[in-house]
Amino acid sequence: MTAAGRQQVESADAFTIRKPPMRPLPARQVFTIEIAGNWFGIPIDKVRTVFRANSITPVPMAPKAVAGLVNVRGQVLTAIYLATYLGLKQKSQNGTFLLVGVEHRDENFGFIIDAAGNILDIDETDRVLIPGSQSEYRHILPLPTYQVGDMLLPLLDIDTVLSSLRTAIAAPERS
Amino acid sequence: MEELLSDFLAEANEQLDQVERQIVQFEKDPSDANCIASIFRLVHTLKGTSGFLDLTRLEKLTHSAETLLGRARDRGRASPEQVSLILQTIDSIQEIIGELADHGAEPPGDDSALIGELEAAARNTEDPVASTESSEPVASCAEDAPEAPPRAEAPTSVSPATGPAANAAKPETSHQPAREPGSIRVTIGILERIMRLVSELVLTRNQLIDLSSKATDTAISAPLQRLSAITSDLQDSIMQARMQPIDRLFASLPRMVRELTIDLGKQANLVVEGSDTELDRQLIDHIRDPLMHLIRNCLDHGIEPPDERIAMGKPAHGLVRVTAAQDAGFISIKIHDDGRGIDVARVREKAAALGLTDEAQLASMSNDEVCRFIFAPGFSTARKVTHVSGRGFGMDVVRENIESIGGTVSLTTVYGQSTTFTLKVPLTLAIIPALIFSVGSFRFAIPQDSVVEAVACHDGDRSRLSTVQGRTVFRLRDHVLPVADLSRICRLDPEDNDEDHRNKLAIVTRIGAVNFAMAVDELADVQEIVVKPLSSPLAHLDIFAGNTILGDGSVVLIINPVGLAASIGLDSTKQYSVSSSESTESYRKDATNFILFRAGGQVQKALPLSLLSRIEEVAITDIVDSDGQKLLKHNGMIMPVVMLVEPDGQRETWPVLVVGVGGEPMGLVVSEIVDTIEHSLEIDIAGRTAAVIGSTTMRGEVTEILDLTHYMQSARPDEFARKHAHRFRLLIVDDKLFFRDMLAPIIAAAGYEVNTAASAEDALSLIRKNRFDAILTDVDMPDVNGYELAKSVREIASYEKTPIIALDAFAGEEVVKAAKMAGMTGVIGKFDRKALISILHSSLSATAFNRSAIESSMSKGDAA
Repeated sequence: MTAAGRQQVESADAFTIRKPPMRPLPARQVFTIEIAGNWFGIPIDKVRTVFRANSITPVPMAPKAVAGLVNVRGQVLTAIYLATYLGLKQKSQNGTFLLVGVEHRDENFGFIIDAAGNILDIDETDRVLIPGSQSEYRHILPLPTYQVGDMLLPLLDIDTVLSSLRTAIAAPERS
Repeated sequence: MEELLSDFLAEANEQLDQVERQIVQFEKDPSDANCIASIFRLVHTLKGTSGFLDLTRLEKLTHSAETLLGRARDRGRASPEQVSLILQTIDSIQEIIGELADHGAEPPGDDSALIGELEAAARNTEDPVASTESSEPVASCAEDAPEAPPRAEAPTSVSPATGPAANAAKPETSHQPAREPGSIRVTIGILERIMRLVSELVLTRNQLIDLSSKATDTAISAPLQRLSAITSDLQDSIMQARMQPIDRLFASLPRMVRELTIDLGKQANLVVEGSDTELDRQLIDHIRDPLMHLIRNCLDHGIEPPDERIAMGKPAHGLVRVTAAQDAGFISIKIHDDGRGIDVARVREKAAALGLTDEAQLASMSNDEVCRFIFAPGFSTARKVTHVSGRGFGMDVVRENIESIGGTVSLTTVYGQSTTFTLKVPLTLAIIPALIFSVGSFRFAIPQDSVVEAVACHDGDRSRLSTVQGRTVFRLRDHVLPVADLSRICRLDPEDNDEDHRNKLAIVTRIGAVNFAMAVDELADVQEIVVKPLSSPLAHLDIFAGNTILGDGSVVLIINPVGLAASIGLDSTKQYSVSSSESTESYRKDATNFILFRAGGQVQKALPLSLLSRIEEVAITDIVDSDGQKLLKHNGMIMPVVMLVEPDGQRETWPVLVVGVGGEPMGLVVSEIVDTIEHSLEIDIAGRTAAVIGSTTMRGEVTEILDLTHYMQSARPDEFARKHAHRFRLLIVDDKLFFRDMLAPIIAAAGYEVNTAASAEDALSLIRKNRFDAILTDVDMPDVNGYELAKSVREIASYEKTPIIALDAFAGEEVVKAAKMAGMTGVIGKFDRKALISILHSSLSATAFNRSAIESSMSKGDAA
């Protein structure tokens, strides 16, 4: 048994996002995450936990953006490199990963992020339209972007991220 | 009220299943008074409860049905129309009950038409004359059925509708799944929840055991052991609670068969055996569709129309037998029909047309192997797509569904006689014992059911792994197994091939009848694992069946042996036969003498000894280039030679294998003669180049069996048509050149004149022009097979008694039977030279002296 074969997972500093009480929403709530120096918002209703994992079991032949499988308190999550999806270069993670756990169609995923932010309210009236259709990220359409305070926050749609993985299932090249 | 209603719904569904089955049974065997009485009781109970719960639609429907059933009970018979009407009523009731379950109230609707029909039918039975007129024979009860109707006290001897019953089906009705006292009803949701909790408990226990093995404190070990034992017990008990008799699945079969036979204008009896076999309810749902499809398939494509059956000398009633049995951790379900079987020639045709394999490979495949193509996607041999089974749900889907639950499907068939499909499914899906192993930094789990053994890759200094024709193979005793290279799949660095740690073990894995090996570094553990499915972005990875959490909390992937085999090119259509292992057994007995030699390269080579006339040691200077080919001058004669090895200057003399085909010799220059051995001609891996038939293990070494014809064609292209003048003239029919060339010299050497034909068509034209004393034919040929050829030959005047001998690589029992049916004289293994010569000798001497002795000597030959 090689040392690297042990895929220990530590979930000690996992914490659960407390969902705010439901109220008639004048605004949507998003959770902010940082990937390679960029901030993004993801819909709060999909977010379950934020946790650290010491290691991820890689899945051979999986799509490039799939980092592998993680055990979080007896549940297996599929870990996704959001940076790979966005075409960004992620900071080195030093063997430990910060993930935001999301639930999507009864399946659990973990997005690998650099930092977790907080919960923000966004309103459709805060949406800013950036002329031109070019996304700064290679292969995805421009994300809807909102002005929050003095920050411009692109909103990630989880459905789009995950379905793109399903369609782009070519095995990665040997590197 | 809520509770009462849900109880009612659950009970009603159960009762309706029984009614459905019993009414079909009653139709077949009206003498069974218990049967109709029990139906009556069930409907009566339904009516009572409906009234109590104020379900008016149900009450009215059941009331009318009860009236009709009451009449049928009093008269002791029911006409097909009445049975259909009852079944229709059951459908309506089920529909209402379904709505009731969803919405808690009866849906609005009008049943007056159906009620009217029920009432009319009930009135009709009061008038015996009217009843007789309306009665027509049911599909499953024909006038021409052999047995007399076991009719009881029917007051009037009237309609043939009260025809013979499938007596064998009787035990089924006697099975009364009445609830035993002391049982309670638990909703599935609760059971599922308990199961999930137990699964987590098993994981936690495994984690604890893992921790305690590292801990120095021994105080916890005793309570932990107890916890472990209790967990196992709990797991077993909850599994038990989830088990259900497969009868739940079989209950709907009689009605389905009845309706299909009517639809298709066929007649069939259904026999169900082993319906008390229990399996996980989750699995019952998984095998429902495949089972239904196979039965539909039996009735649609298998069972012939009655007139065709009678013409073939079969009873007009087809037989569909569904058998379930528990078999060492598996449930096997057999679906057998005595219909027309599968036309292998057509499967061959279609497989070639679809490009499922290349012609050469197809030609070398046995019938059983060819049959497995019907599980390939897009394969349907029915020329006419019918609405019954031609509905896009093909055999490939059956296979996929069964494989997805870790099962296998296989079939055996005798053309013209029967087809048997066998489903083998695990008892449960939830928790399985698995073997954990490591490859590089990866760990994987594999279901233990599919593991045959784990063997060290090194036997002393010798590696059991070797590369042949660009593939890695594993040599295990007499077998050569393909190897699934997990380190390549995991993209481990091939440079990092530290011999001490890498590929120390091979896990021999079995899927269906095929074995393959996985080269792994280390075995870690055997654990009970809870299978969790892979998420949708990973679901396309066929080599994995899911994932699980091990005792130490790590996540590992579970290998799917079927997917892994497919990834190394083990053709999935060839893997699903229980019969292939049997035929291999019988075939193995036939040993051939081989000469083993070396000629360049690492791998030992072999040729059947019968092909050689002698071995010479020749001086290299005697071989000269002439006219674009190499010629050997030796002992005053010259012959063409093929250099299997390029002689270097190290030695002066080299061994030459002299092959005599049709009297003209040719030589093969080799580097070293190893030995001669007796060995079965069993090809484990088919050859990739023209010069190699395939590879196998001989004397513990991978050995390539060479295709001599390849060399002969280059050295002596004109020697195939040589004639010999002898007393008896034989015709060899085989589509494969190799066998024609292998057999022809053997037979010629024994003193016969030999002609060959490459197809049944060629053979027939030769037979019409010439007189042959005996015909040897391959059974397994494209277009027209050997059996059909034999039938055609028997129709030619003066060939009624000529010995026709079937040649088959596997002279199995089924071939013997089929050959007998086709009027052939005997069957012989293609590689059994001795038996071949002796059967020819005895049958042809018999021809000369006493024709009547042929048959007896032939049947003796069969045994050889």
